[in-house]
Amino acid sequence: MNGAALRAAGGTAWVLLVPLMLGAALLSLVIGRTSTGPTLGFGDAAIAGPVLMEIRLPRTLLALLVGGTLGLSGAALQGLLRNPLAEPGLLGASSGAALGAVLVFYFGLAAADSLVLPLGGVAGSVAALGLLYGLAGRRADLVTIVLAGIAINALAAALTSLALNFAPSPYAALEILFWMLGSLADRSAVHVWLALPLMLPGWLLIGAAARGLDALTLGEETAASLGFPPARTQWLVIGGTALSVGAAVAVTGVIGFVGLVVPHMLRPWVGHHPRRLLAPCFAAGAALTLLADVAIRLMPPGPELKLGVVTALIGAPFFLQLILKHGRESGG
Amino acid sequence: MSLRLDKVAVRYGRRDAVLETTLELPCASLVGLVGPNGAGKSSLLKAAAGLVPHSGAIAWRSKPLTRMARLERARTIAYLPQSAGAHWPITAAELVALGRMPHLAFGERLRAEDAAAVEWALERCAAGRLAERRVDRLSGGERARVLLARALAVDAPVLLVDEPIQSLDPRHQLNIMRVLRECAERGTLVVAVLHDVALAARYCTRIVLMAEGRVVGDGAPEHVLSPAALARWYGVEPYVARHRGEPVVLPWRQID
Repeated sequence: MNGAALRAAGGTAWVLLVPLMLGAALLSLVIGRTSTGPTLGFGDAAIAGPVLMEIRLPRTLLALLVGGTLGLSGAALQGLLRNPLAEPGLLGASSGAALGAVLVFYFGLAAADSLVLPLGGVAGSVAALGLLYGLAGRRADLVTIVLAGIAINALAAALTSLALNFAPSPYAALEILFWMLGSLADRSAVHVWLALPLMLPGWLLIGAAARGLDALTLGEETAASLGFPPARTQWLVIGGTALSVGAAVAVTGVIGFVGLVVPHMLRPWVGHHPRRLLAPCFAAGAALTLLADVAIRLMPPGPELKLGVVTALIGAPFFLQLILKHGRESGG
Repeated sequence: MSLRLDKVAVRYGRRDAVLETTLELPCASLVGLVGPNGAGKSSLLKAAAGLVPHSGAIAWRSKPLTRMARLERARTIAYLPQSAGAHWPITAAELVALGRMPHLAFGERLRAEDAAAVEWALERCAAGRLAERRVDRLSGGERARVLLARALAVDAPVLLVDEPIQSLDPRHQLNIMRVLRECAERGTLVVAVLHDVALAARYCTRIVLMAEGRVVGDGAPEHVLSPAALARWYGVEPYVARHRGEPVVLPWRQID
């Protein structure tokens, strides 16, 4: 495939992805779920307005924002680390957010106010970023940063297990576990308004790093000589990811695989350019998350599947197939 | 118009890589930076490109680099590192187009002049027919030519290249040295770290010989690359001759 064809393919990515995202959002608005199973439309005329505005719309918006954030930050981190295995949780933002929320459960504060839980998540994510910065230092190289991220992830996982171990009651432990699986159920506009003010600056920081990611394609020294010092690109991406992913995890719990698989799927489409990958990954991440959340509502009656479980179930085989394909290609 | 290095020194931890060095490098010259391994050539070149912390001052046309904006400096000094490559399988033309980044504003797409500069740079490096090939599928020598084309595409008045002909076959080595010489004749200051003293003697307008972190010879190639200097700093005895009026300096025998 030549350069012109690759650029054209980048164009078709848009033509397909934006309608896909909007179509998925529309499905998410019209498909619901009651105790008897999936429903189409909004029910009685009397409750149609509240159902749409207070239940479906916030849930749809959150799926779009969270999925878009995961796709975008996954693409940015893979570009930064020049490694297709990087994912948004790599540097500790999501495990920090999860720990923050778990601590809220543990101390029994979740019942006090529905806002305490996501606020705890945001605080955890910001604390994880601060710890990363403190451990690695401003001019740190990527290896140090990844190691610091792994250490933070391990610490957060250990403390989360500790909280589970000493959970005040089996019910509290179950609540923590279910929350960590990731879900969009029972979210309201409040959650949208809590997450958006953190996600928006996060996206902007990642956008500001876009050209630096392209420059990093040629290595750190060349990137610096082109006027894009790696340290600058690095902290823009890390800060942007921590803010937006931290906010996403704070309101929905951990939703895996979206940030890993989506950039993988789209990379060949946009000619492997890190910058051209960002916006399509937002759209595709949003579409994938919306469709996964719609699939949950289409399940037969019973306990609702958690979104994080569904994305992992879709993502894992997909990833496996990518690895097999990669093995075949590099094996000649 | 010159690049001036004033008492530039580079330290890595407690080890001195480059001791205080002062050099005046005028435009329209091809300066060969030569010397044995570990002499500090690459460190001096990186310092000149502003890529490693250093003491002393570096100025282009009397303007300190530290007072230049990020992209202004990137437009002034193009740099090609010793070992480079692309981390993603983009095409050669796309790789070379990255050299135009310092010229583009945020969100701006490649303009006609950028596309022309990319094409010109690829042609210069005899890599025009590689334009649409994926860089991960090029041979080492082909990739080296494409990477040099990336540095040329910046179209900067100063071009710093670290071992640009290392992995090339003889024909392309001659070709690249001729390209660098032509850049110098068109007004560019080219500083090239070279290990091939024969090609350095033949093509460079000036040789800076470094050893043990300092400049130990500076001037015309024949003068600096004398048998005595090669014996002292490289430990080799050269074969010296003239061919069609040009100097031939060939490392011939190791001195025990």
